[in-house]
Amino acid sequence: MEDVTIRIDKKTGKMSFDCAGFIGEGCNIIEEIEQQLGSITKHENKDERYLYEIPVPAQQGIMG
Amino acid sequence: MNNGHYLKQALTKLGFTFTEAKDNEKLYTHGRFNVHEEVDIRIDGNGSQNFDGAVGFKKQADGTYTAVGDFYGLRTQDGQSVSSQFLKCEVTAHSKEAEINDRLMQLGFTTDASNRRETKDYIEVSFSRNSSIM
Repeated sequence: MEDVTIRIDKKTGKMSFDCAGFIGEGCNIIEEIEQQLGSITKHENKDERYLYEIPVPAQQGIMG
Repeated sequence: MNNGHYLKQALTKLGFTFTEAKDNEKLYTHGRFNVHEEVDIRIDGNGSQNFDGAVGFKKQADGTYTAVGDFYGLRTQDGQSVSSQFLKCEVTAHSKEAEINDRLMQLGFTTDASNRRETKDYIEVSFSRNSSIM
């Protein structure tokens, strides 16, 4: 059996892989996933694709 | 599949109900002070609280979604404030989990609920597959 554990940090949005003691790029599964995703997520160290922008409160004038 | 697919999965998992704009349909948020913003996905509520269409997500040209609307007073089912910080941390993490779950399943990995652990700081999921698949 081949085991892989993923951990997604909620604060940073970053994801790490741990497979049989290899963490990060020592893990073959990352290459397999990259092949599936194409060039979109070359190395899973960016969270921009998932980073929803912080909404800016609408500015409203107050009628006096 | 795209970000919207996983965004919707994340919203469902977090207990939100939502409405998605159909072809050529325009959806708008309904914020305080009569502010309306066009969105592609509008959050209706959390199952117990009606959000009255206050917030939603607008799809950008690059395929990502931006949260817009009036977040004042909105809560999750367990009482957390639905804020920009909540969206950044929780929705992003759950979207990412949904996508990596799909990808690993396609590669022959399996998992179940007993292999998933979630805290306020992280989500951790363990998968396994038979090595002979490789």
